[in-house]
Amino acid sequence: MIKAIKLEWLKFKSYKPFMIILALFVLIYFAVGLSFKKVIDWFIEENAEGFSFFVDSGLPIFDFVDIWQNLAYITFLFKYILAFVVIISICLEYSNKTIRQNFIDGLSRTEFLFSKVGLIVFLTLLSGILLTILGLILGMLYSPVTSFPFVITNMEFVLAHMLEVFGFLSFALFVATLIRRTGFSIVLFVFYATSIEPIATGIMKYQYELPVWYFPITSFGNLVRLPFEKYIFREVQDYVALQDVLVASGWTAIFLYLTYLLIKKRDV
Amino acid sequence: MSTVLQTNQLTKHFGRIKAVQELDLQIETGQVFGILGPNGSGKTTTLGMLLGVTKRTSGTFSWFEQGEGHALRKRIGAILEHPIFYPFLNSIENLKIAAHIKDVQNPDFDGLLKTVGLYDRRLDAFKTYSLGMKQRLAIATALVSDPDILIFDEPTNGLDPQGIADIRKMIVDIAEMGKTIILASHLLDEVQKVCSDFMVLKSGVKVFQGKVDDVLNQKQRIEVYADDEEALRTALSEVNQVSSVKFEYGVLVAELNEEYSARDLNTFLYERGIVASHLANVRSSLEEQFLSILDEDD
Repeated sequence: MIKAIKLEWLKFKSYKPFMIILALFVLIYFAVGLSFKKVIDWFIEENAEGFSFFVDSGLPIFDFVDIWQNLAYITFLFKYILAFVVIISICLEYSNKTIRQNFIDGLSRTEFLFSKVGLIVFLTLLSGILLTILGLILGMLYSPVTSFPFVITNMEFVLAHMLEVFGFLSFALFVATLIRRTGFSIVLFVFYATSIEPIATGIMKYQYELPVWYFPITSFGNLVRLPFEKYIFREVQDYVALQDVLVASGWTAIFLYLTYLLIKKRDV
Repeated sequence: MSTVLQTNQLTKHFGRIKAVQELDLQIETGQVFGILGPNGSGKTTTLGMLLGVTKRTSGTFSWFEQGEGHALRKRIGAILEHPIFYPFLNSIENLKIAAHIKDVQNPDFDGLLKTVGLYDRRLDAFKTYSLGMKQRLAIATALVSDPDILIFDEPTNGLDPQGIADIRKMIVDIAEMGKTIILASHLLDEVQKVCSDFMVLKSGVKVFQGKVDDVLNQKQRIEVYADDEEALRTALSEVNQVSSVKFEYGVLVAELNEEYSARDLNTFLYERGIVASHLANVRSSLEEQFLSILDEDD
């Protein structure tokens, strides 16, 4: 396992585009993250008439306890960038045929999968760490309460966010291994995640009132639910539900297993 | 001698196409084994199965009499079809990846790159290399684990004459280090120059296997010429061991029986008072043998 992770590191660290994407990712993450407050303030001021209640009281978006769910939800878009890194990494192995040479050199197919799962774990940890740092910075800047017990309350949303990223990247790994071409994989992946499934679940949910919790992208999204409606006094799920964790973990396991079968059974 | 590779009824079908059919093969330590066949005869498919990248349809194979586990391939240095590397990484970085996969302790990258003449370009990205340089990096990579056996698949494809000569010399040098080599090629000349043993594949079927020397020595051909061509012809016709005489490219070409040598012929001519101005032992070309092997099977 350690050998597989080191192998992926040898490939990854010398490949400049990956390092540039990662550096940009961290940069954009903080640039966007740190300007959330300003954007929200500006938005509320511009539309002060309708939001006069909030302008007076101030939204507790960045207050501790609330901040973890809010940030974990807002940052969901960033995982697409990480998914592209995973897809490019896999598809380059196929288009350059380096996966073939890896096997010829004596790598087992399972070790190859481990090395790519190692990449996903690394990107997941990175997401978790960035979210934690961003939360701590914003909280320390804007939260009226900064005592330790408040700071760590609700930090399970960071873990839920990491599971969301891990599952999402497992899906990306599966799509890339199945398709093997970078452009087509990215298009299909984005199209499915942003159009096919949302439209299908939308129709099922609102037209026919069918349950949709078992869809993969939906299940990853359900880990951290939309929190903001509570500020207009609607009821929201402000905790990480066990059922959501189980469904998302199940899909993650299925995608990883399907990827394993593809790598194991196919000629390369 | 121990067996390096053994295959038993190895078969691969791609849909209706029978790429390799029931191949039985045994390769011993120290052999330089040629797999000779025209394009599309199943050479790469065979090697692909042996190297774990192509799933076989049926049959078995065994490396080093220990089966087909992936770890055994760490003892093999192999290049299939064309050199495959990470295009954006340089020689050292690419070598590091191969060495890591093969569990090589303290690899001597500089030494290897000097051996194949790539040391000066070691920090340039692989994609900037010429085909010859790519091929040389592939050989360096194949050697990185100091393997017992090396596999080359069409190693001189697309190279210029100098590049071809360099690569062939490298292969012969490696063979002299006592390593077993498997060389797949569609060039007879290449197999003839490099290999000790060979087999011929045709449409996925093994149609011949034997020693290169045995095939070459079945008939001995001597080029001979003297100023007095008439006398020479008369003299040659009197020797029982000469089976035929032809005039080719300005010299007479005589086919001799096995036990009769060029030295015997020269002695005979000298005794008859004929001084040969040209006498050369030409090996019968493998190409004719190869073509006749392929023809026989039709």
